[in-house]
Amino acid sequence: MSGRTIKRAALIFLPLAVAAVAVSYLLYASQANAIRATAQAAEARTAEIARQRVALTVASLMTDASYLSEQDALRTYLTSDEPASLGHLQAEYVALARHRQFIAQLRFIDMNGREVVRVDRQGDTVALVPPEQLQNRADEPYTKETLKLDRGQTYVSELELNAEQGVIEQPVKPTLRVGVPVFDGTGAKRGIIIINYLGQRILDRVGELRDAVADLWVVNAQGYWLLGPKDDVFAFMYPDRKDRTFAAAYPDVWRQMQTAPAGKVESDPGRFTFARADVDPSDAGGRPFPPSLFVLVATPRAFSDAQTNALKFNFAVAAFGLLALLGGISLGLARHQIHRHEAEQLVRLSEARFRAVTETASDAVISADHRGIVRYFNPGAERIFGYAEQDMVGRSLTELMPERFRGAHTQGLQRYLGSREPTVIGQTVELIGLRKDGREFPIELALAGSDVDGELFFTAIVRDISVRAEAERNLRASEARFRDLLESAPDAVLITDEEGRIQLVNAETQRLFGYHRHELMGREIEMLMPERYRGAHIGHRHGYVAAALTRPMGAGLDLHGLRKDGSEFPVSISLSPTKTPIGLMVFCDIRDITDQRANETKIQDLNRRLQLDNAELEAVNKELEAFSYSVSHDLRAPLRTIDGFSQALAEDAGPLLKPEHHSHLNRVRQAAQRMGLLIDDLIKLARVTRTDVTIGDVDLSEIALAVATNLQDAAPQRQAEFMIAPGLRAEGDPRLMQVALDNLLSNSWKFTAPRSPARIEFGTTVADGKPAFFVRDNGVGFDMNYAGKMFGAFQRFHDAREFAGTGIGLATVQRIIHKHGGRIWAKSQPGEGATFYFTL
Amino acid sequence: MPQKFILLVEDNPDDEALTLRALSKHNIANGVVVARNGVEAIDFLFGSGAHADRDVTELPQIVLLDLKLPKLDGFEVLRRIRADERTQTLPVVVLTSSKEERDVIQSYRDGCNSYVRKPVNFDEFVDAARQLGLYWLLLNEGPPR
Repeated sequence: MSGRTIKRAALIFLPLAVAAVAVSYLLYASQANAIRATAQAAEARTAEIARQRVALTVASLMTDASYLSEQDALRTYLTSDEPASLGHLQAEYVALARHRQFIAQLRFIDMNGREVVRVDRQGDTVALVPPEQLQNRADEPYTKETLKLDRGQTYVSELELNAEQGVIEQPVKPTLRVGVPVFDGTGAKRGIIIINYLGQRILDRVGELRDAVADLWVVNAQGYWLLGPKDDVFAFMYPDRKDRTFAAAYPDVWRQMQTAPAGKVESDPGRFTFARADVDPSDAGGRPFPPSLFVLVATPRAFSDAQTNALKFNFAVAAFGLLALLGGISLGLARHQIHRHEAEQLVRLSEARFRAVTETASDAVISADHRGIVRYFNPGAERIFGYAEQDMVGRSLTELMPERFRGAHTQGLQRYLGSREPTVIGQTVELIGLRKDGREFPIELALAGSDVDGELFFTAIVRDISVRAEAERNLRASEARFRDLLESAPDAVLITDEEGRIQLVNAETQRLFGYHRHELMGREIEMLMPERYRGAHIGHRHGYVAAALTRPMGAGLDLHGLRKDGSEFPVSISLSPTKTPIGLMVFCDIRDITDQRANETKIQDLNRRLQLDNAELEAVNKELEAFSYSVSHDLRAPLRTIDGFSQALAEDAGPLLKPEHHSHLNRVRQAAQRMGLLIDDLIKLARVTRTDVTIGDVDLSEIALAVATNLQDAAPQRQAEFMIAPGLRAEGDPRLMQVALDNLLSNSWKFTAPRSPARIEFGTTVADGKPAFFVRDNGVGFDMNYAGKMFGAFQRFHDAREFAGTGIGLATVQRIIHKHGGRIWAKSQPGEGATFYFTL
Repeated sequence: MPQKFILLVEDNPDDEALTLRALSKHNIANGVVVARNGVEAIDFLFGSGAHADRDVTELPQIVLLDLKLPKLDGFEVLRRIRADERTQTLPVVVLTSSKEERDVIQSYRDGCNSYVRKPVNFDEFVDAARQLGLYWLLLNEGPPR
């Protein structure tokens, strides 16, 4: 049993248990009260009976006394005073005492207190006391009290132990005395009558009322008990037992007994029900009364407790039984509740899961009852149909379909409800939906019916398939395009199945092979190849199907096609496999390579020729290289000799020569030196021609700046402004670009010599929509008529005396720019400076 | 044999004359020994052939070496100089007509100490000779012997 069950059971059990205990206790209490009340009533009744017995006894004694005071015999005696009348009185008294067995003593005492007549009872014997034994009782309290009384008054003593001459008579004899005064015919008081009553009788009669449980007490006004607990003894009138009184034993009870004529007192030892057995004051002749006697019924607490204890036990057993029962019930209830709770949780979970799925589903989920009224409308449905959930719930499903389908829907629903024969239930169908905005759109509908407690529900899952329908249209369009493409393909395209049977051919196939489409469909592909290849091809085909790859067919082999007319032609074939639901399909692309073959042959020829040319070129290049090497070494040596010895001659024969001879020698030397420069430039040009271009990132600005610095350093006396745009970069050969810029800037430097300051600019511009670099100067410029010759080798525009130069520099620059695939051109006017543009 | 001398390896008599003339303009032509081809240069340096009786510990201050030489070209001479322990540290200046890049690279690779092209202009040649003599004979501290 789980802790949860116990906890819940405890929660149920505790209040029930409290209530059960409370009810049990109340029942018990009322039962106990009833028992107590019954017991009390019985006790009260017993007390009352006891009181009555006492009271009646006393009353009858008083009546007797009154009768005796009025008796004829007594009157006669009082008037005649004869011995006979005394005898008569004595006889009367004896007779009365004999009949009234409770009378212990009957006396007539005269006014002096002397006993005149006295009858005593000893057991059953009644005897007249002889005159010599008569005593004077004048000092006795009862004598004194009674003599004081008027006519009609009665004296009643307390219940006392009889004592003779101050000695308590043994065995104790409780005695009650009643006295009345006696008057004669003249109304004179003549004496008193005293009746001693056997008090034990009262006590016995009261004692008769005792039962097994209750004790009966008779207690006098002083609180001494006359009748008490069965085993106890009198204390009354025994000086040594002076303190053994009821009042001393139960002071609380005693105090309460003084306040009321009857009642009950609960005290520690038990319950006391008491009644004061008073004599009617009127009967007592108006004398102050008490003496009172209390009768008490005492029920020990032990007994009343025992009574209630038994009840308590019974109720406790009953309560425990009840509690056990309640415990069982609580446990059962708790289990039931937990089961129900778990079941509810499962339902909630299931509900939550359903919600989670449907709330996030992109499809519409709609539930409707058997009348077709929407009960649930998920966000997907809101999105697809454009209605909000609160708009649609409670409305008919038919609102979600175009007017023309509604009748059929309603009929279908009715039919299903009638026959339970599903038509669309459990299936997926394609229908038309209607949006809130009135737009219709294709839907896919899956419908499920469910029976919830006898009520039929439908759940529809609706998917908007506009997109899919669109996609299908697109697919069809795409297929059509594919067919168009296939038909217009320049190659023969055909598709075969695993068995090599032709499934599809395009127009080019028909044209290339000379068959009509219907002649090819379903036939084996081998019909399109020369007889000699067919057997091997079938084997290859099976191998290909086993390990299908996209690849060219028969790599390295000469493949041939066979036309319907029996002619053959070279082909190249590419194969690509496609796995389809109906098996492997092979896509064959067949190209007629007759022309290609011819071209290939041509290209091979060309290549061969090119190789020869290349070899030749290489040889030429080598020669050129050797030539220029030789030139650089060997051509300059003679020049040095010419120059050197001319100078030697001028020096050695100086004084002998005339000035014009010196001039001649000078011309010889200058010619030699110019030729040296020419050779240098030619070698440079040749080197540029030979050099392969190695393309890299070149910082043109940096090169230009370095060249400018060199130029200025070489001629510090010149005033010049270089304006070089920073950060100009290009893709080119760094060394060649160095040569080119060196030439261009040196050119400008040379031709700006007459200018002060000279201005030389390097930058970029746009020429014919393309970026171009330029070098501009404010030099002497040139005539554009000769611009075409400008870049030819050895072309010079200026007099050698004016501007030194070989005419090779610009040719070198053009060679470099052309090697980069660029273009170079110039603009100028004589005297207006020149600008050289180039692209790379 | 003077204490400090130059070994000029030059086959062209014109060049030889001009070089000597240029050197003599600065009074350094007296200490010039001329070898007219590569073999002669090697014989002189290593005491072989015609120079078999020469004291080879007497080494020139500097060798001025032409590249285009009959029999044994300048590169080969340079390589042999560098290959021999005795002449390994001998300063060699290539003095030739060309400044073809491959010649310059090859010379340095073979261990020349300097590369000077003979200018066509004799005035420049004289100046170059002056500078060479000044540098290699006076300014430069040669390897200890």
